[in-house]
Amino acid sequence: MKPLNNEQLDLLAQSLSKQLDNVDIPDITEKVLASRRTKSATVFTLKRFAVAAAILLSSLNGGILWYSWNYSQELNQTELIDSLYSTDSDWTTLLTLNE
Amino acid sequence: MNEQHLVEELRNQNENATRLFIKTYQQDVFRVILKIVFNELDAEDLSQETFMDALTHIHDFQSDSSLKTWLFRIAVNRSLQHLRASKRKKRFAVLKSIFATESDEPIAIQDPSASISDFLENKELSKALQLNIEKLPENQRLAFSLIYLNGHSYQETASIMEVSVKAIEALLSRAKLKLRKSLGEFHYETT
Repeated sequence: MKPLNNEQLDLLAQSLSKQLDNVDIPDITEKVLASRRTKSATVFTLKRFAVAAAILLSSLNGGILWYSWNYSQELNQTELIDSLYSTDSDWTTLLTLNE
Repeated sequence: MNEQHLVEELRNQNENATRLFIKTYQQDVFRVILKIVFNELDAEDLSQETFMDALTHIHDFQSDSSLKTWLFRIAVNRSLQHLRASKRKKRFAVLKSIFATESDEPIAIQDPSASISDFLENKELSKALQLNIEKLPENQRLAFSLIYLNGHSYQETASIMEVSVKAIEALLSRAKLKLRKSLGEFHYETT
């Protein structure tokens, strides 16, 4: 049996290449354009969702801050009243709290 | 529309430019991929992914290479990713060859002394070459495919694979040696 030489390998590669060239090439233009439109729409929806989520979170954050501030005010007043009725309170503490 | 103008329009997401871009290069991209992965359906999917990647990253395109070379680079990288994934998932990777033969085992050429027409018309030989190309290491496979099957020059191949021309020569030499060995009874002649 003779070995395969370089020339035969070249010819064989050419033959394979020609056979592969005979394969029908699909037109993928519309598929790519459709995928691109879908991707753009998805990105747009995600962006809108992100903006809505950011607004919701900042509103929630504002609500929490407002509630915390009110609660802290309420706590201060409770502490002041408690101190007035406390037996070990002195005028200095009361004045400090009142300020 | 020249290349620079086309790139600008692609960056502006002009649909007509996008259509023109795909229509201009889709055949070349499909052929490059097909001659690496040897499967039509995979080649079609990978071609679509190549264009999607290219359109998504068109802002990264720099004019140090042509748009076509840049596109081929994406196609080659996509094909490589596909081959690696196929290797990892061997149980899912029963790739259907475009040549219908019963066995997937590499076939050695029994009679390379046959006439050239007989030699070239024998589909089994092409199948044997394809199967043996699939067994080559990644870079050798790419170099052989781009030069021998796609007809690219050494310079173009070096640019697509982002290596030197000398590296391509070395890869090709090793690939040819392996193919000659695996395709026939190879006798290395020392002088």
